[in-house]
Amino acid sequence: MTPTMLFTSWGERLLWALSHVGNIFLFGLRMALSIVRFDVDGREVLRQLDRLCLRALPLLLAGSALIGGIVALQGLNYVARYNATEVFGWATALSAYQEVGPLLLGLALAARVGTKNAAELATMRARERLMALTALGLDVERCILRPRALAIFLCGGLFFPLCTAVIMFCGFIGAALLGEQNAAISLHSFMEYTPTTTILLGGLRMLVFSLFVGVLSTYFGNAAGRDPRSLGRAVYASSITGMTGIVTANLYLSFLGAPS
Amino acid sequence: MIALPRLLLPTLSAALQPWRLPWSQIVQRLDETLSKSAVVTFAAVAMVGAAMCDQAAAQAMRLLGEMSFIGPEYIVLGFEEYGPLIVAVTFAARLGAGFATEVATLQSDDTLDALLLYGAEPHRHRLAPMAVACTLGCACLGLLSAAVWEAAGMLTIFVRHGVNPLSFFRPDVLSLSSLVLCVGKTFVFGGLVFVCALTFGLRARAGATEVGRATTRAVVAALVSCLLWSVLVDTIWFAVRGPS
Repeated sequence: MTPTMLFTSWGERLLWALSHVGNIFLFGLRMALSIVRFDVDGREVLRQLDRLCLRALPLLLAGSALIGGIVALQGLNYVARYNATEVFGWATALSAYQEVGPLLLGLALAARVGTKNAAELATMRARERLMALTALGLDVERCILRPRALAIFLCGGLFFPLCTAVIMFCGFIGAALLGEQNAAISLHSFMEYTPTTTILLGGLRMLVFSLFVGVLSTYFGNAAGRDPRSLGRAVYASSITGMTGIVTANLYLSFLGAPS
Repeated sequence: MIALPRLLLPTLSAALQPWRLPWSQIVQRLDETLSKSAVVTFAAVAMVGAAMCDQAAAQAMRLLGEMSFIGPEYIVLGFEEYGPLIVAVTFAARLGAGFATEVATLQSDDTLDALLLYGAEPHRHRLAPMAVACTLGCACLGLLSAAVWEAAGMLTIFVRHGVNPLSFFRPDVLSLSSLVLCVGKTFVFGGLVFVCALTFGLRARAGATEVGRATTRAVVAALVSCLLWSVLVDTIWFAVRGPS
């Protein structure tokens, strides 16, 4: 391969990646503008919230219970090592609301809701249903795409309190069962030491993650071709970019929230 | 749909006898697993590690006014808990989705059935080598990712908090059990991702829509089973070893 061919190949890949980034940004911007202008099909958003998100709730709750177990076992090690029974509740809350909780919940959302959304849209694209809707004079982006992305975005905010409550509950109960950490002391520590900003910042973090999942999965689902490989590729791209977006946003928000 | 019963168990059985599998296929799959997944996995682990290190340092400074104990705790977390877990999540999203798509595509257009009818043994040549690559590759990525996790933490603590990275780096707190836990967890994570991708890929029926559905189910199942395995191992570890 000559240097010219190498640079041409790299350049083509870079342009391809940049065009996707630009399209994703424009789609996100149009979605944000439509929310500001109240130009959203509310009924479709509610329908998608039920179809895509409510059905994912059992998985998210099960995932939250498992995350609670992980947080409890980690906390118990520190309680024993530093004799820090009193701060167990606070440390669990910090993990659940700000560190591990939103991150793993965001990844679970990307895996369950994001991939399902991408797969459904890619299927609609493959069966030419989206083209049929366009032919009927409907604005596909307004009727199909934006409500889905918005429903996933709302799903993060709506499920966050419930899922973190499950993480906390399972963390406290797990610590009480496995390490004899008194649940009442844990609860008191949580109420006493956890500032409201920790919970609010966690919620904000989860909203950012769900925005990434909603926008990326909708974009890649809509960008799929017609063959089976293209469907798989759309789901795969949605899964990978969703995960990368979440970990990148997590790092940025951590740096933003914690003063150096 | 003859491929599911005729391929699932033979593939798992062949995977348990890796010395009988074609080496060229194993090497090819290992390349796919290791070199093509390494960048995404390392980037994810580094970013999560850096975020966690920064938050821990900020909290320690706020509450205790010093952060000397962060280094030893951070390296243990990287080897025993969050390092392997992030590798598992990335592995499920990257390799699990990719392999499930491949198997589901082969299944939905009847390629696997055709190969079986021609006696080409797709379970030995195409599917089982991935099991070896998944388990070995995930274990290798787990160990390397723990090193990346530590490097990300050292860089973060230096750039953001001005702490000497060498005083933050405390490998002396690691024991053999930490390494065993890291390798053991990631080895099984790799196996779980493979089994989920294979099972849901082979269950795909004819038609383009099934590929996306199979991939979604495989990723979800892999994620849940990896979380479950992590909690199970931690509980047993905690009960046997007590607080570390």
